[in-house]
Amino acid sequence: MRRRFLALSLLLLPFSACHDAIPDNSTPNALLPTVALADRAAFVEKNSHMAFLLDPADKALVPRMVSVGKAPIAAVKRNATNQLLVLSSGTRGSAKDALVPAQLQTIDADATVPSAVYPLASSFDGLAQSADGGFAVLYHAAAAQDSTNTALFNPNELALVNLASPPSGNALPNPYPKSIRSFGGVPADVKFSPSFTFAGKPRTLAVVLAQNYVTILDLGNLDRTEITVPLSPDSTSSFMPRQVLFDTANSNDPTTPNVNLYIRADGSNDIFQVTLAIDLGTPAPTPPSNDFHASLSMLAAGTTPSDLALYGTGVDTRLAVVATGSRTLAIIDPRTSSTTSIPISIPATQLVVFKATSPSTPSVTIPEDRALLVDTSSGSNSVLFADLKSIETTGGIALHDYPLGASATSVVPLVDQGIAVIMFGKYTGVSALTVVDLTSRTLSPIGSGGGQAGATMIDTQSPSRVWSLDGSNGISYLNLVARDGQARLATGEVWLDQSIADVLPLGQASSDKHRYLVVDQNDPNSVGNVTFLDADNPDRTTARTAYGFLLTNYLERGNP
Amino acid sequence: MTPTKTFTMRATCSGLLILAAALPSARVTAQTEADTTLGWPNVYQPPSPPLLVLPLPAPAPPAVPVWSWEPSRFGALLQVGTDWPRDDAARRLVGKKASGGGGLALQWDALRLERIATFSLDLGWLTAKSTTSQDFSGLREELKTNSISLGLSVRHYLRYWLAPYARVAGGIGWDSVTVGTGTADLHDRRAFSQGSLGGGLFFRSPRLRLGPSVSGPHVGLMAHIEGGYLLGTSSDFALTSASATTASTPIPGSPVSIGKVGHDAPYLRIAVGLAF
Repeated sequence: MRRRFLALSLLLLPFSACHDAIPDNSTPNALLPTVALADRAAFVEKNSHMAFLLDPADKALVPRMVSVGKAPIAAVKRNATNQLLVLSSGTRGSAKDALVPAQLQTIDADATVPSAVYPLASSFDGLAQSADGGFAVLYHAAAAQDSTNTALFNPNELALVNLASPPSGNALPNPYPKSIRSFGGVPADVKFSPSFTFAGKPRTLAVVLAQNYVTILDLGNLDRTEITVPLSPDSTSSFMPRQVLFDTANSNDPTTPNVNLYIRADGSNDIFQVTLAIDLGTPAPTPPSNDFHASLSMLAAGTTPSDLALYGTGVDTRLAVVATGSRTLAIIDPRTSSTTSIPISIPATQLVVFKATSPSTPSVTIPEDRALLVDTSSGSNSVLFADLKSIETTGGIALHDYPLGASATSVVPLVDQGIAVIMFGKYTGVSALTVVDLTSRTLSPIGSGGGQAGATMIDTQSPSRVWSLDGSNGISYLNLVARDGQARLATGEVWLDQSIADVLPLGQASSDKHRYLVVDQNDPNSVGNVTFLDADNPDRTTARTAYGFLLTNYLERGNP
Repeated sequence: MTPTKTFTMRATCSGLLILAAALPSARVTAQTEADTTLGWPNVYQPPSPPLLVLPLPAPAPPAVPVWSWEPSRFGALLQVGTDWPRDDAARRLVGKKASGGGGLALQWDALRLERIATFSLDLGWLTAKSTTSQDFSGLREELKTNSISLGLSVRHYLRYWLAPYARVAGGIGWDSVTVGTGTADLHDRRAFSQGSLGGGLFFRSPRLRLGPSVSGPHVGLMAHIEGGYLLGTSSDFALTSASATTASTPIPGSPVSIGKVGHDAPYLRIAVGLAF
């Protein structure tokens, strides 16, 4: 009997591995949104927690792969650098598996620059960074909390990361953990000042926005306490701060160095002015006290302010505020808090400040401060130009009305190129968008034959261009300014092989001297499908596709 | 003729007659001896026809066995096999620790040195297919492997039905990989060469004569069970899309290297078939 069983077992043994085994618990590749670095494209795949960097100058389009932290939740370009920032939430662990801590990681486009990993004490899901890419603030975004994570956490806990310093070897921990004072709110957003010198010392400020208060952090002196500024001291109002402007023109004043912050909040008819000043006459406080003190004042700006902008310098600094509810443009002198309110014909929601000459005053050849006022929410069919230099004295005479072909939904200012692009939220008819020449004050409507069902993206790199998707394989483009061999407002079209999901222009030329457009193509297999198109001379004959790049080397990578 | 020569001739004739009369019993005796010594015995001896006095005394045909342990020269076999790849990439691609397949084999005994050694050549084809899904992407991946090998084996009979053997083989094969969900799949095909060294047991049954002639066709059963180690070159897969576009001049793409798949593996083969 045993011999028979042995013989049967031997006969059946080879068949034991013949059956197909298809596990059904796998998930498709899941990519975070594509990131356009300066000269290459970056993709972060969540399941394998792997970053893929594709250099369009590489003819073979072989991605460089860098492992990132477990459970990546955000990937963005580090501002003003050619680096990728990846925020990972890690895993909580269990009785069986060890905890994997959250982390923030920088990955440079240059493979010779080592990746920096900043371990985090908590699983943050909000990431904000300064304009120069020097600092990052990680916070718990109220709207994005992982509902599956039931562990306790402090929503007012922050991690302040000095991205210019390595993760270790510093006098202070980097990242620097900070739990900020709370008046019942949680961080909703973080705004950064530009880098500036305050009484001769380099500073970068971060302002954490929360319901009814803001918190000011001196990122150059992390060991100092935060400053909490209540916007509604009696807590009877509900103010949600949305916009912060920094006026650092007097930060090195020899007698009273000061910095002004102007804060616009939903629910408030006032603009909050926070003045940070250093008293040079007294000894500097020792840490953790700050070397500056803050004072709050409120500036009347009309009903429901919707946008504000600073212009002028020094004593001529002015704050322009458009108020939707009162249909006014308020010009505020921050030094005296005096306000000049000018009625306007449209409930403007957006303010584009620029310097230019004006066709209405051809004798003035020096560019002066002017503004374009656009209503993007109430359906107005016109825009306003305002001559800011004279508006305080001439009032409405300094306003000039220009008709639009349709109701604007957004405006993209390209002030350095002398234009603004007004979008209408629809891509059919003769008013798909309008290009505004800020100097000549001409409004050029751009039409569409009805096929532009997809997204429209404005490549702000000079000379700028509009890329428009038709919802299938086609991309059309419009030159916003003249370029070599092509006139201003000239159009063109390129057809690719597969339908297009999105386009992203790279910021600078790659090593082959070409600047590329990253075209995300529809990818039903989730294997990675991207085409690189020359952004300056788009032509399908020079385009190249990387299809399936997420599978690169996957047999040798090991299990994620 | 001298009396001595005459006596010698008579004695020789008498001896041959006696030997002829005693032949059946002598054959049986030889068979009995062959069970323990060299030689290929018959297993079945039909009884001698009864002695009848017939009107037509035509000589009866010589009796030949129906079953015989005489060896067959050719074999046609169905085979199944299992490999246990040593390479992680191969294990990942097949989705398990072992991969199995089946195929055909032909065998020819090229040289026999009685029961001391028999040298055989064989030509085999083995095909295997495994389908799994990637553990991190859920994509279906299919690996088809075909291999053709030429082998040389030598075996030694311990019994008429049992012979251990050693075998060395070499050949070529090709892998075909497809990754995707059914649309715009990526695929690649790579050839590889391989060699193996193994040993096993050879089993056979007595063969059955299919015709009246001793030299006529006959058939028997044979089987192998063989284990060994397979050495092969790696397949370096670079996937390309089969149908990502319908454009007449597609935008050029780049093949995607997914890694090298090694073919080194211990193996087990079982084959059963007919011997001729």
